[in-house]
Amino acid sequence: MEEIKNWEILAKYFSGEVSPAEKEEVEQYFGATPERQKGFQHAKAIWNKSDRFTPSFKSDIDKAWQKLDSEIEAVEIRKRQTSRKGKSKIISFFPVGIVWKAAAAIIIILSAYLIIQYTRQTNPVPEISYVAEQTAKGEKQKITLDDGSTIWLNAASHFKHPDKFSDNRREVYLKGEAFFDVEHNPSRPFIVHTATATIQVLGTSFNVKEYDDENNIEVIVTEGKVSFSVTGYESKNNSVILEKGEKGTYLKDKKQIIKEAVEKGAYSDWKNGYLGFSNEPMENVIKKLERWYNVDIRFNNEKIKNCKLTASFHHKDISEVLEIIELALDIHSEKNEYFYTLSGTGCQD
Amino acid sequence: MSGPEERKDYSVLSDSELVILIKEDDKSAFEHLFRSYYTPLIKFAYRIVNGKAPAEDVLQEVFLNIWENRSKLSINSSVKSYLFTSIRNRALNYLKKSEHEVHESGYNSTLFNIISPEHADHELISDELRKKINNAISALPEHCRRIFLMKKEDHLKYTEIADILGISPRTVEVQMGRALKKIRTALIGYKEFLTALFFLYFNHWL
Repeated sequence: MEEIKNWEILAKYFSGEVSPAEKEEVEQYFGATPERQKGFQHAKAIWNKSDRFTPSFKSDIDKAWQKLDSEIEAVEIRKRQTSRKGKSKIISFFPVGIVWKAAAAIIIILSAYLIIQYTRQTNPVPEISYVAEQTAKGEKQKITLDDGSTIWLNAASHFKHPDKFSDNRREVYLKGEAFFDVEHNPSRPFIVHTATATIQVLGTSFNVKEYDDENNIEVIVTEGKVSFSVTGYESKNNSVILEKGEKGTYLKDKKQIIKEAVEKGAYSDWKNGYLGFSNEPMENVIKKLERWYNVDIRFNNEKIKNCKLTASFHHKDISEVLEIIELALDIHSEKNEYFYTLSGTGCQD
Repeated sequence: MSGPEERKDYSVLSDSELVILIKEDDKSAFEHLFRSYYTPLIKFAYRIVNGKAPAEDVLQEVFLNIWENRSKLSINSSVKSYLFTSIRNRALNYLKKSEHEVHESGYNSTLFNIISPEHADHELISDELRKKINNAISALPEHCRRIFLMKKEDHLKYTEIADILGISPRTVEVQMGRALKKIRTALIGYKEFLTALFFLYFNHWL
């Protein structure tokens, strides 16, 4: 059965690393008998199918370049500043390695535009220095703001806020999910910006969720009243007022906001360790689990994504959660060194 | 946004020519180098640090460092090997520093896994095959798997792999042969493998 004696030369052949002479040799050897031909075809099939081991992911080159470019500029400006001050040593503020810490990991980001203005010394603009926090998967963080407001930042999220709020408004930036407990102050409206939405409040408690890899933006209000609006080309249904116990969902593909009442406990009280799902499609459940537990979960059958889950978990680990899901949805889960795989018949769309 | 001056066409230049320009403070040449290597490098970094965000950071740091120290830039090997080696070093450093941050014990997980479209129903059999192959790849010894993936996923030449890892090209040859053999062995007795092969032949001849 084992017709292949020299795997090395075969690998070289498939890799395109053989010399013309070696190529001849391989083709002659493997073409000689039907047995060897079969062995060759088997090996070829394996070779062809082994190029998708690492999961693929999207990465934006333009964004990456812009980020690099602004870092380069910021360093240049800092160099000019320090050299102008007569200092011989250049102080670099860049963290050499970025380590995620459970306690406040503070990265200081200075607005490039404002730095340039400052050094040109034309119109002195009041510098706003921002503080940014980032959570990794499986991490949560509690942040207290300058005005006493409290933010709970969920996993795989990024939150940026000024060190000191300005006099007439309090503006913050969120990517991912956070729960806000905002101090009431009519003279300083609190505004949350996500990639596509703006949530404005006077003082209230609410949850905001906008992840890049999800189709909807969600705002849930637990106290008070917020205005939830989405920037876009069409202005129909792009702004709603949400009150206590209401949830606003903006569907990115349908470009509209849906308002509905939400049951207590039906959404995830994640800041207290509750993970809750209310008739939620498995597609979203998986994304949440991946962020919450910092794991990688794959489907064997795309139809599983359509199955809806209603369940809540409190301080459970991933294997317990998957066990429950297995029972609830007649699914089987398997784990290898790198990821979990879910298999089963799935559900209708 | 583009000025009246002539814009150089950087795509006709070789890597070493770009490096020469970069040493002369040509930022556009630097941008071109960044953009042309971004995708393979980020994938390479991603495999080491097991995350999209840290992979992006590693790339940022390496390229920032290149620009900052461009006047002292001296590349003896190919530019490609240099870049991959720098990324590898920086990524390994990152792992060392954040070792205590790994949440799952010895289980490296991935961020932002986007399920590739090859799971379409009509390809169910070939998908099964791929799954088995991926499991077999997971089971390879670490060094062997690393080399195999650098060839199959990063599309590096044997000599480049040898350069980047600091091993001999002969070792690369041996490990590649070993990998192919082990995966093949793992698939023996897999009854659907033969059916899958039939379909593959079929598709090939259609």
